[in-house]
Amino acid sequence: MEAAENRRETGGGASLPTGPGDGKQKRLGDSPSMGGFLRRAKVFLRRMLRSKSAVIGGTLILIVVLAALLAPRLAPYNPYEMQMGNRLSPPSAEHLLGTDQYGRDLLSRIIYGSIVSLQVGVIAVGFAAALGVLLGLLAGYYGGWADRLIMGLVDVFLAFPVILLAIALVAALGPSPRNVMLALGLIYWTTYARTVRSSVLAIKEEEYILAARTTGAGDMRIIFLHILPNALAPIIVMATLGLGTAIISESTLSFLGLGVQAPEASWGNTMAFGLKFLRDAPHLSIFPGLAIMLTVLGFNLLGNGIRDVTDPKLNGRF
Amino acid sequence: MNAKRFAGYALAGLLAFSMAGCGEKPSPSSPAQSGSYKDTLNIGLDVEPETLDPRLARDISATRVFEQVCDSLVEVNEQLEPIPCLAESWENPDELTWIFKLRQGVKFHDGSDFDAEDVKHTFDTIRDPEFGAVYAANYASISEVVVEDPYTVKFILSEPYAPLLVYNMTLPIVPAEADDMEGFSEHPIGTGPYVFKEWSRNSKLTMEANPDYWGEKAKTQNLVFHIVPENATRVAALEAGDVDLVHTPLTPQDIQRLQQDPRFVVDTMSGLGIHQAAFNHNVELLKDKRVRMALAHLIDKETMAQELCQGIERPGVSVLLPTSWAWSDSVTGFPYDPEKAKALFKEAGWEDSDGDGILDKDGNKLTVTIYTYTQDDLKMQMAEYMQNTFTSAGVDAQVKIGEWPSFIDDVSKGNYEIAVFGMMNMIDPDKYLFTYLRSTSPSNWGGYSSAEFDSLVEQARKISDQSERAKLYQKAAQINNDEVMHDVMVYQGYVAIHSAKMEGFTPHPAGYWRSLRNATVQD
Amino acid sequence: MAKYIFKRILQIIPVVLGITIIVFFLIRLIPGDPALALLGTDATPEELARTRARLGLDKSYLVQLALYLRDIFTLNFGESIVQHKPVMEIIGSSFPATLELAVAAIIVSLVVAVPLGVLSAVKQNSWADYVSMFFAQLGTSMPVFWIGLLLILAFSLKLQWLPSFGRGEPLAEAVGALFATGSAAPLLDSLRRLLLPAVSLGVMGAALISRMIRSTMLEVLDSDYVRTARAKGTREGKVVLKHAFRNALLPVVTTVGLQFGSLLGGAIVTETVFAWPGIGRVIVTAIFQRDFPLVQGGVICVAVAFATLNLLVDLLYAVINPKLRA
Repeated sequence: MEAAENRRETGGGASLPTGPGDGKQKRLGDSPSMGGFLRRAKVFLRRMLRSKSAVIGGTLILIVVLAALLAPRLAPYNPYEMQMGNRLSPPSAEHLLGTDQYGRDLLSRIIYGSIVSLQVGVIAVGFAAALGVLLGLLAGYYGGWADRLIMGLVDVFLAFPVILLAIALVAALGPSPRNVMLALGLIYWTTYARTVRSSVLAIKEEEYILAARTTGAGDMRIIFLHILPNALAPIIVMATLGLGTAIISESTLSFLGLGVQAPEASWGNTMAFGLKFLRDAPHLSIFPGLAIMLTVLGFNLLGNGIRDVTDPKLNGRF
Repeated sequence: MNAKRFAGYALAGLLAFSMAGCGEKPSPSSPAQSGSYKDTLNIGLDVEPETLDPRLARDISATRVFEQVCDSLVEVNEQLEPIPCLAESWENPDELTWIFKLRQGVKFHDGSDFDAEDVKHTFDTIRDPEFGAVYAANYASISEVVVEDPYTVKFILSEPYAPLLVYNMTLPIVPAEADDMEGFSEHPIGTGPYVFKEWSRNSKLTMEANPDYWGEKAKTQNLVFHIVPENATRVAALEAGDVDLVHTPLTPQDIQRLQQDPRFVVDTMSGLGIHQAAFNHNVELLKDKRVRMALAHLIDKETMAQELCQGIERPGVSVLLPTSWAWSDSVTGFPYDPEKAKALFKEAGWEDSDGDGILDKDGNKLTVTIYTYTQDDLKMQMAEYMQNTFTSAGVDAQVKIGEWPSFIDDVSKGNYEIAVFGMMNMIDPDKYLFTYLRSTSPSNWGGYSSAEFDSLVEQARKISDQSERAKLYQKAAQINNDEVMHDVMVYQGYVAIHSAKMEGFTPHPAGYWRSLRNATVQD
Repeated sequence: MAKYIFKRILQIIPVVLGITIIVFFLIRLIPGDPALALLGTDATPEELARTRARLGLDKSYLVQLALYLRDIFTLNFGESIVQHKPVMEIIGSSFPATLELAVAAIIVSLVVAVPLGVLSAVKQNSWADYVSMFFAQLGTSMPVFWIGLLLILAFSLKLQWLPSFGRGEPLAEAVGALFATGSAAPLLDSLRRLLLPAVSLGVMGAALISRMIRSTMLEVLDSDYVRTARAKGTREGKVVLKHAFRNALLPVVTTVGLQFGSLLGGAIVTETVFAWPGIGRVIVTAIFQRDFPLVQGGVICVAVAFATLNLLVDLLYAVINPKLRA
């Protein structure tokens, strides 16, 4: 069954329901109550620091987050100030990464771009995770027609390339940062729903849940206080990896002319527009592309690191 | 190119004119030259044609194919004047009648003879509502097409229409049997110098020389149009030698770079289009002419032309094109002038009273949205640059970018404040002035209204004397500017870049490729 | 087995129906009138109304949907608004191009991933392992179109080794030409044009597959029976090949299958960058032109392909893994 599990985790289109087969494995945070949180956090952190992947990834993300927080201090120029006489100039001492098609400083725009890219990523993933977790909990806990309806919807969503759906959604709503986030959220919720559902199926028959139920705890209380915290680890892993995916998807939408719009400085639109000057000003598409690559790499490494730490079964996976 | 030079030309002088091969000059590079030539011309096109039925087509890519495969009654020369093609001559006995004498001995590619029935069928079908032709409305002034004899055809108009020759008679003629032919819209048949061979969707269109062409025969055996949508990729293909010719749209940077490269020849000229900022006169803020004028003075046309367009395009003045016979230096526009704009805003009551850097009036900020669409890089850059100069003059400007169908849907419903878009193929001034700016036209989206302007453009389409028409259009253009109906920012240039090994190709301001029949590429 | 297959095929139907309905309404939600997009700015209101009526767009959405469902039930996908051509014909000519690109990308992925994955597993925690796994991580961290443009920049523009766009003769025909005429030129041309798009599309798959191979092999190499085999003195090469690699094949098959599906998505972008005449570009263009029948038909076709592929992967999986059949 090992490989079959892998297959589902890769977000595939298998329509077989995930069974409770992996319910017995040891997970961090398997203890029935919220107590001992601090102690577990300390263990978690210590293990994280031992994971090369998590450390490198975390460092990369830390740099990006700092760049976003300190953008006004770090950026050498105003990212919106145009100098038409100095368009598309290559990297120089004055402009470390060169200038864009309006003579704006590229380094400053990339630094400010980290705000937009992180924002798009975090909100899109937050929205996707919230929606997916909620529907996954409902489907797993209640089963029956709610389960069939939600999982049916998941199957429909998984049955075609989601980027097409994102294109259509953004076209329908109009290209703007808000709508890009909304569209990405609406297409990426399915993996969360699927995973949460299978965790719930595994957990809900555990003794401590049964015990809570006999003491008269309501459904909502059981779902959010007992089940959710214990299904959290895979959600965090997926969300971390999802941040990278969202940033890439935003740049892809930008490439098709549907991403975050000018004059806002997102990496995606800077790079997508830079492609129009590929021959004469390759720096305009190379540097924002590098920023995207390193950030996504950071999220991927961090996500894999967290997975290694929280899911001993998958140890050794890079 | 000085267009005024041609302003005096009269149509009559051209009637006796008859040339082989649709008025093309003999190619300067006849194969007598030394060296061997490639048997195939490879051309890069940006957009795939949607259909190859000349009556249904609406994109210029299809037109580029018809220029090779089909002929029309009349052709437009580089000075935008009509010259004979399948019609050897024509007369205009009264303002509602046009009689065309057709060329004899011309055969379609399927071997059938070309005659007046083919002309009648072509024009009857395009005007037939059932046929569903997109441009049917453009032929609305024609009320009847009569076959006088096999080589004489008479057009009866319902109203005088001066641009008939350049706009209607350039329609490629299809055989009368076209609609019985299986798959005609993918495999057009015409009388042109190239025979259509194959259309691989999303990839290429192949043609081969017509050995029985009635005019001068094509110099290169095969002709292939490659569909390469990305401008950068298309130019890369040229540089890699995969194609021999590319043309507008091109990125200004690519043009500039290739101008330095001895392997390529870059032809630039004034084209037939404008980029404009259209003001919606129904928006409360823009009802004030002083505000419109102030904003027009805040658009830095010189920098747009010099920097964003790298000098390929020229700063705009009015709706009259520098290329056209209707052009006049006397019409004045709106040069970039922030001081004047400030004064105009002040006059209209807009001042920065709270010192936040943004003009205000009665507690409202001066806010305006510039709207354009994502399919056009240059317009996006123009809109973003406009926003920048507006902002520095204290106007709170936003840029909104939609994709084309949404954009044009909004604009045609009047859902915009300032829309940045283009007008193309303005061979005759009538096209833009009569269709888009006349107060009663359904395509007058911005609510422009001037009775004097209306009467001028209505009058101008009824007379055929070119110099008289030019005067009327110049007056109309000045009114257009005095009322600040919109602001013409840049005149579009036309650029064709080809390999230095290519000879015989002559660019045309309208982007026509009829001269490809004379082109050869050295091996 | 037959019953299982039948059940799985039945399951495809509601999924495709769901997609049809979603796409049907989604495309109609997008502002922009197909008639206006088609007729352009010169159109009169009467012409617009007439065109809408001709395209059946004047009826209510529900009537339009009912008519559409009736039509596709008889496998009639309608005619493209813009191209005046049956939708099936357009899909029929563009889908093979996408398939060719996807297969080539998978081959590229495997050629890169198998040696890389095996090497890192056998030499776990060596520098070779770190370097290859670092690149495997990088491979999933780059936008596909960015990879494509870097490749064009390097191999087409700077080095001028490979063409930057377009498709040659379809591979099958090029191979046919080789046998029929003995001329290898069309085949070479096709392969040269295929290479860059296939590489840019295959990078992501290579990264995922190599990681999958490595982790599965590590697990097997660590298992009891491999330890027993080693203890019995079986040569290391044989252990790696016979036990570890063969076991690693299972997840590779599934990853390849799934990868195929996401390739169809990635192909949309790659096809635009390299002007590859595939179904992805057709659908995106159709969305931008509001060509409703073509968007609907294209998406349904992709969804059916996707579902079929999943079914095939599951079947293949059942075939190589006898344990599952029980």
